[in-house]
Amino acid sequence: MLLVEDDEPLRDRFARILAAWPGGRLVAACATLAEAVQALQGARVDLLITDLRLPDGHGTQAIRLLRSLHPAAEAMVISVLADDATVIEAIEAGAAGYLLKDADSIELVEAIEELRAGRSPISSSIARIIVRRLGGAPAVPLAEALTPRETEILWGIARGLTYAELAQQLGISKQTVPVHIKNVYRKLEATNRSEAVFNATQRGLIRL
Amino acid sequence: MKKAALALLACLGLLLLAGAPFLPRLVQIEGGQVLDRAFVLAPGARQEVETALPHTWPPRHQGGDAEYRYRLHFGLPEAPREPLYLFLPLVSQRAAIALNGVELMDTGNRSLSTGITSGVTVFVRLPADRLAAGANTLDVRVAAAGVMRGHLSPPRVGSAQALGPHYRLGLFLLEHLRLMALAGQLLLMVAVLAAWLYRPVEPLFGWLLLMQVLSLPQYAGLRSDLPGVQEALPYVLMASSSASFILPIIALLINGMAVPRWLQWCVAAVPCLGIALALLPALPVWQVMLALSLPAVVLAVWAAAAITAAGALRGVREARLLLVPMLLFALALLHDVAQVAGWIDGAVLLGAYYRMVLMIGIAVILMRRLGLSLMRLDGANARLRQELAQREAELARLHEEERREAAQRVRSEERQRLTVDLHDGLSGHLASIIALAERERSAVIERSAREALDDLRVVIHSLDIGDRELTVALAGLRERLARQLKRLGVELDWSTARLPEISGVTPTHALAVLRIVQEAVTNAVRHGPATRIAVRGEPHGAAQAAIVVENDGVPFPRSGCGGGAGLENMRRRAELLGGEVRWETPQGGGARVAVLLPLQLPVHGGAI
Repeated sequence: MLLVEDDEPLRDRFARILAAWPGGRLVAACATLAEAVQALQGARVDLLITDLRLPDGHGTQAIRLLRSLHPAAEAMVISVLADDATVIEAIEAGAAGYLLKDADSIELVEAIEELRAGRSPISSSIARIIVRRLGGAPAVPLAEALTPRETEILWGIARGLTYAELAQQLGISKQTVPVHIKNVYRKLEATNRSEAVFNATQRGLIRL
Repeated sequence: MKKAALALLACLGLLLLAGAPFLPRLVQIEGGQVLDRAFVLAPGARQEVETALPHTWPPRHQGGDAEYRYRLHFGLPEAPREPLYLFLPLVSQRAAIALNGVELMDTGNRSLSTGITSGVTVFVRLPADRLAAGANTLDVRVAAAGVMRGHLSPPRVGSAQALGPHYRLGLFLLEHLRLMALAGQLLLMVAVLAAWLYRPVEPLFGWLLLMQVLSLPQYAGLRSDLPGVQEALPYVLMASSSASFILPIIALLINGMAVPRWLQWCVAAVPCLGIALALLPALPVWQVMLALSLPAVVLAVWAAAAITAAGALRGVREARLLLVPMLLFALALLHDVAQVAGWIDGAVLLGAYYRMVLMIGIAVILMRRLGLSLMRLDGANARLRQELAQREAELARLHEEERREAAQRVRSEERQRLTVDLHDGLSGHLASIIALAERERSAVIERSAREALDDLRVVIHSLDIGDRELTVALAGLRERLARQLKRLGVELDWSTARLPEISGVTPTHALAVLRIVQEAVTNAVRHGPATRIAVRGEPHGAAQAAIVVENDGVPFPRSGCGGGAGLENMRRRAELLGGEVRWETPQGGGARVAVLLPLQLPVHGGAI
């Protein structure tokens, strides 16, 4: 696990919690993007927990680097507000989970375990943003279209239904809802990656 | 009442018009001596035959010129004291009059040649030195051309006072009216030309113009004394008869019916056929005209009359206006045919006169159209002006609305940006404080900081709430409450699926609702103690929505729920939203807070 957080008390706190957790080994606790990049290139990391506002860069760069170096690794974003724009940005970079900065140890461990198990968190406002993105104009075409089940889940969460209500409505298990969410996040990431390539070729930065 | 009077007047006028040619006959000529017997010498006959006057020649089908001689005798008791005049009421077509062997006058030498379709009236002074006491003889040579049957009505001999008025009346009816008809036709032609030039899309005008132009050559008969005109006359008449075939087309157009192609071709085809046949040396031209042209024309005109009658019965206004002139013209045509064919006697062909009536009818139709279109134009103008004014008012209103909305949007965007900016830095610091407090093991500070951070999140979240998105705001609240309650070990049972849609939701309103519910939950946790909190969104009556917070802790004190600034805040916030908060004690124990909200939130309420 790699932790990236520029605020010292918070970094210490998380580092303490992670170090005490038997389920994983903390490789490093970085304060800047440069340190994070160094650590990523040096060691084998399969979980990245990073803040986005770093003094020398943006956390999404670290996430992208991780995903390109180790495609099987997961990234989680810690954010103080977890506002929609931040989270979406992180998801598009490749994060599969997010966490609030004032999370206590139980929440942190739970979040890591959920991520490991292939489940992703989502809030109704984030779901709304995604739905708006996909349906609005100009509509963002997905690299890989959403399945009907995924669309239904997104809509339901955007409307404010709980996982329990949604699971009851759709006749699925409550546990499978976050799994579908993770698939949606992956598709967003793929779209964003291909979009970036497309934009870059448009601007002549990459010659295909 | 007015309509009936008008209709009656119209009928009388029309009867007068119809009977106009017969009026002179009704007027009894008085005064003078009437000579009603004559000896007639027909062309090719060897002997004179005595006959009564008025006398019309038998029908001629050969054409060409013919001359009949009439010999009349009258006696004067003595040499007349006053000048005597000879008055011939009607003679067709030319007459040369001789008194006692001396030629008095020849109507062919008059200033105005009146053509073939009209008789003339003669008023000539009998020179005193030629009159003898006793018997006098008048020789009248009547000549007619073409297929016209000559006619001589009984002459009168008398004084100028007695006979003069009748002569002038006859002159007017027989000669002047004809010229008036020509003038009227020319005038109408110019009017229709103008109408057609300004509105060529209207086929009626085009056909009317064509009809007027084509029927002009018929007046060539006026110059029949010029050499060659007489021979060319039948051909000219046949060519001109094409105008009659246009009449059914006009009738169809007035009825609003389509004009068939074959009818349009007839206009040119039938006269051409007639002329072609007449040019063949084998067939005499007048025969062709009588056998082909004339029946075709009669058929065409009567067809037009029938079409107009059908239209009038169906209620077409213009057809009704045209019906009587058309019928009169058709009847006049029949009269003329009968006269030429020999079935009735008379000297005057009425066709020319009644064509004038037809033209008056057409002129009335044109004027009516003008009047109607001007009226419609006025109406359209007024309506358009009104619509324009309405549109402009609407546009101004929308403009105003848009301006207001834009201003509001700018304001709210500014506010949002400021808020986010403010809270960005703040929230980071609070997270730091939480971490520090944990390290220093100060639970109080930690809890305070956490509450502050949660409150910040509520505010930030509410900025994104749009109209009808209250459930989204509540969902956000649920996510936060779930965290808090889980930490405290309280079970949260949340369902807002049945909450009805609330409109008029602004970020301010959303924040107010969230704070109310949060306060209710906080109270439930603090004062409970509760192990299970249920939050339900459901409809309340027909016009309200309710968010109910129930907990299984201590019920509210019976002595009313006065205390606490928190409760007061809740009540105030709810009132600003147009709703209310009720504290109840449910049956199974515990406490319940019901937040009632209207389905349409007020526009400017809910200020925090």
